[in-house]
Amino acid sequence: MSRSAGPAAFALAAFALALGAAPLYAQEGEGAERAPVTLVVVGDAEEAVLGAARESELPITLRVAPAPARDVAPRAPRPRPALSAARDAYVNADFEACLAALGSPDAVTDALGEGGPGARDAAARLAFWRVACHGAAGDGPAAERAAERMATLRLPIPADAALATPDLERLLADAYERVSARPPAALRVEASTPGRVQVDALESCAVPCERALPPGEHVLRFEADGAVPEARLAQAPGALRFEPAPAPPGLAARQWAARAARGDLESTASVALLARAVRARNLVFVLGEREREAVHLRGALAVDGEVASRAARRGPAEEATEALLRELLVRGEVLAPEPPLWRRPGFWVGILAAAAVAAGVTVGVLHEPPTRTEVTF
Amino acid sequence: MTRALALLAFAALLPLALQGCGEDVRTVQLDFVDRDPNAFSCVDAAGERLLNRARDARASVVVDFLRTPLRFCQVTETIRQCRDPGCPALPELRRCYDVVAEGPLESDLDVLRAVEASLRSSGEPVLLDAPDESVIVRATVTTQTCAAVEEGAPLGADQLLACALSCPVDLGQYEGVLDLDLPTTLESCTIQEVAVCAFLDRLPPE
Repeated sequence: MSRSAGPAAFALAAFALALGAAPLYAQEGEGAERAPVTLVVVGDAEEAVLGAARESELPITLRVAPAPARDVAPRAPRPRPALSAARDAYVNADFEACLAALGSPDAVTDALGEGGPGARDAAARLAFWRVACHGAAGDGPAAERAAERMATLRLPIPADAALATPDLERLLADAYERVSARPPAALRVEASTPGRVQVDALESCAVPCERALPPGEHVLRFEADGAVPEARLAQAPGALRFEPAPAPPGLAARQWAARAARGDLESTASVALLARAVRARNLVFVLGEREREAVHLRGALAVDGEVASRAARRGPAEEATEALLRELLVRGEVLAPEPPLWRRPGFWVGILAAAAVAAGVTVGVLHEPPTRTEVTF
Repeated sequence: MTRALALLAFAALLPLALQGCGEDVRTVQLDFVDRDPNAFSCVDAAGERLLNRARDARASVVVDFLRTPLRFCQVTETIRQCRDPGCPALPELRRCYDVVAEGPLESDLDVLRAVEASLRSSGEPVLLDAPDESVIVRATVTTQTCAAVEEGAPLGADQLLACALSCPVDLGQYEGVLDLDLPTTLESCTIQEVAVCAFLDRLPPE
């Protein structure tokens, strides 16, 4: 006797369908373009998070970048050999050599424009010795102009003044008195990017801002995160607009390190600086801390230098990392959100295939094939 | 997406396609009861073996299917039913086989086996698609040729060599070996018993 293999054939068909349908689901994730994402992790959970991120099945091309070094040495005052040379020349009554050692009158404003510790003291000493050498050389008008410029920049009288003559002290006092007697003039400062401007290395304000200053020329130094610092001269009264160049990665790394050294790791500015420092179009910054068997993660995503999303997760490293990355990237629109189940083509293919197979199996089970009886010897 | 649609079409059409493929085949194998004496051991009124009527070991086996409402294998009841209301043969199902009993034929059992072997040598089934009816299968062995039988010549009593009947079976359900035998009250069956078997579908009412 031979039996038709109805139900078995239907079961085989179902199996074949399942096998055939499997690549459909696999293809859903493979077709999409994989977004490049740079990951920077700091904290004691760094290794666990990086390991989990490398195992992640998110459709991204992951690049892991180390955080820039955070131990930034403070800037030391720059040595000024011109000052000692000028003083030696003054003591030796070689006033021409004194002025030659001091260089151009712009050296004073250049020193103020450099910023940093000691810039104002250096500028004050350069200005003082210029006044002293002009005065000792018998060039009274030049000495007066230098003294007035020193007073306009509101530079302090350096300790070196003890070496000067009483005439020089009087000249300086007169100049400071004349300058202070003039009504202050307004200087308005603007910039193409938010930042702070330092005026004569003495005071600063967040741009846009306006300062009341002694009339005359002043040194303005503009600083902003992600921008190259810029120093320019400006006349008060007047206005000045800064349009700084973007900071190169090395400078951005130093700016980020300076913030990180102050404990500012997660602010919008800090994350934006980090993105520039590691040259990442899509940067995920994660601050990971161990908590017994789990990790506590706080993360931010910067897209094109702008913080696009933030998220936090707590739990086992693998799950928390995957969830954090997914949330950041989806909320930041780097990854498309997973469509609801009913909107996925695979869902309907699966449903219809299952219905077809169910119908087939039902038919196979209920169907009684025609039977014939063969009589033989 | 094209692949998905193809898959769906395959899934939808597969049951329909398989509908046409499935078929159950039941096989009923006719088998002369293999014992000594047997249905080929019958004698005439003079005590002569009926097999002696055959020349050159040639004979014909006529297979008939007799319609019967019976479900039980009881000889007297079968005969009574076939007298009234009757158990007509289904003429369209009659088959006839010319057989040659080959080999050493030293006993009736040898003859039975030789006839059976000759029947099976053709490999052709008796019926490819038997009706779903309750029937008695009858195999009548005669010296008449199949040609004569198929032309409608009635079976002659004096030409009978042997006859065997099956129990009533429902061909719509039965499956397996179906024994053919001639119930007999004596050690060797008689021509009367062979005749009752051979003309079971034409027994006159009592």
